[in-house]
Amino acid sequence: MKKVFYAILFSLFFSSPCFANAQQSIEQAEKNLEKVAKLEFEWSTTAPLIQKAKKALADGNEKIAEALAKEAIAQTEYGFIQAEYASKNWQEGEPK
Amino acid sequence: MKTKITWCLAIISIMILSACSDSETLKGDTEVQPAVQASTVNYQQKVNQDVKRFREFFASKFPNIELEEFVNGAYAIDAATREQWLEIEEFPPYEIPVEEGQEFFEAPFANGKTYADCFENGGIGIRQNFPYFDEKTNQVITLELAINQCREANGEQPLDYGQGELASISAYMANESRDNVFDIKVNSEAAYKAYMAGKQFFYSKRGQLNFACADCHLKISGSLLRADILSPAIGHPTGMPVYRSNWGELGTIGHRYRECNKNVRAEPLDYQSESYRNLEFYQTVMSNGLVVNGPSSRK
Amino acid sequence: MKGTRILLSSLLVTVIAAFSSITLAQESGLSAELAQGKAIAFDRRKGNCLACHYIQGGALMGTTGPGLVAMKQRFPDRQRLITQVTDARLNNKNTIMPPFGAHGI
Ligand code: HEC
Ligand code: HEC
Repeated sequence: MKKVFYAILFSLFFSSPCFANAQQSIEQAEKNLEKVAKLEFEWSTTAPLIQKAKKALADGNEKIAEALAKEAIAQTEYGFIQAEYASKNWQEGEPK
Repeated sequence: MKTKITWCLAIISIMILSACSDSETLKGDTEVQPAVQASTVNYQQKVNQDVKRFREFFASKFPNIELEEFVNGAYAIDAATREQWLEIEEFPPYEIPVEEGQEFFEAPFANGKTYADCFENGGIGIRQNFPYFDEKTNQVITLELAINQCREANGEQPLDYGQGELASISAYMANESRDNVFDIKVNSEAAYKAYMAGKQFFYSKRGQLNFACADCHLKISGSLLRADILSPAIGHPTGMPVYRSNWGELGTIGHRYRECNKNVRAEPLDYQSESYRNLEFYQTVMSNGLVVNGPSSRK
Repeated sequence: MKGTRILLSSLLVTVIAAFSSITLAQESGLSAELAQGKAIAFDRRKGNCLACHYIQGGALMGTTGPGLVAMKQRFPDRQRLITQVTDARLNNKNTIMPPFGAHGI
């Protein structure tokens, strides 16, 4: 019984927003960034966000680091969307 | 709760998107004909139609401007700044870099050879032949790339592509080619592919501000963006390299591309990356029929 | 994040609406909010709306977009105005106005 209780407490603790997993988000952001850069749709704002997130994490501001990394991930995702959109619709800008 | 669901949906759609992104559709283009037809397709003809439509667009946007005038960028279409510019051009700020460029150009490498040995006609009067599609190596060769290839073939270190010595050499070579007419050919499937890749780059919106080159330099060219008059894209490469007062020195077209990417908060590509070379190829084809007038000056 | 963006957009909309009829701005008690909106609209790093729009009281203004005047009359539907600022692509697929809200600019 006690074990189960601790297990629940443990998992609650780690899934709670107070224990944001900044490290994981930063890694995800870097992975995405590499991908979006290959597509040539990287935003110049993203790498600085990741740098800031890393610094925040190093300074022990886990929550801020997490938020910054999430913002960076979102930017890469908009880049993916732009790449996809452009691949289908780029002709729209051509003179008719 | 709602935001969480939106996030999940967003992430799922991104996953689908990125799965597709590995496929050919993103890089390739939709207009290239299947290989079976390749031998019968006249690529030059297709490209010439593009050039015609491009010209007609600017001719109707700026009905009072002669085609030849478009080599002068924003000054072609704006009388107010043109006066000032003509005064600057009387004592052009690129005169000294051109002289330096000549010295660099003529100075022998350690092995005794010079740039003249690498180029047709000793490198004089040939600017209008660049960039061209090299069928052997299957890629676009720009003048700046050729200059560095020449150095490396002669055991020298390559130069920086954006500004400095290489820009000066490029300026000298342009200066020796003034008034020669651009007539860049696209007559193979591979060349057409490079051309189409450059074209797609030109029309694709990117960066946080979501702009395509075509947005600023075609659609809204001629209007004011803050204090800048947006130059028409036709004639863009003819005056390169360019002396910009705010740079305080000459810069190559690659330098300009990087700056324009940064301005819309898109991460710039490397100098002479394949995409930038394809873009320059496309832009120069669109300027076929115009003359070399580089180097030039801008406020 | 999303909440703040919508808030910012609403602020901007308020400032635009108010600037186009300046007397209203002086009378209403919105002045702090207005000042904040104006700061965003005129800031190069943030809205930089002046790059493309004429707005009363601005300097070095572009001519790319329509002048932002008489907004109340031209945008009786406030939601459409908010959409124009958060993601102009929803009003015009090929717009060149940046998607300020959607891209978190
Ligand atoms: C947000 C608007 C904007 C976008 C998007 C943009 N540029 Fe520019 N570009 C400018 C401005 C402003 C200048 C400086 C004024 C001028 O000469 O047009 C400029 C200048 C240039 C010049 C130099 C013109 C000259 O006469 O010296 C070239 C070439 C150029 N841009 C190419 C591009 C290419 C290629 C792209 C796409 C990768 C691009 N630009 C995207 C705004 C933009
Ligand atoms: C790059 C240029 C550009 C920038 C920067 C820009 N806009 Fe626009 N805006 C446009 C264009 C172009 C239109 C015309 C409608 C369209 O194409 O979507 C427009 C339309 C509008 C309209 C609708 C006006 C009407 O009469 O239809 C509003 C409101 C507006 N913009 C607000 C803003 C605000 C607020 C900002 C700053 C946060 C801003 N814009 C920044 C280009 C721009």
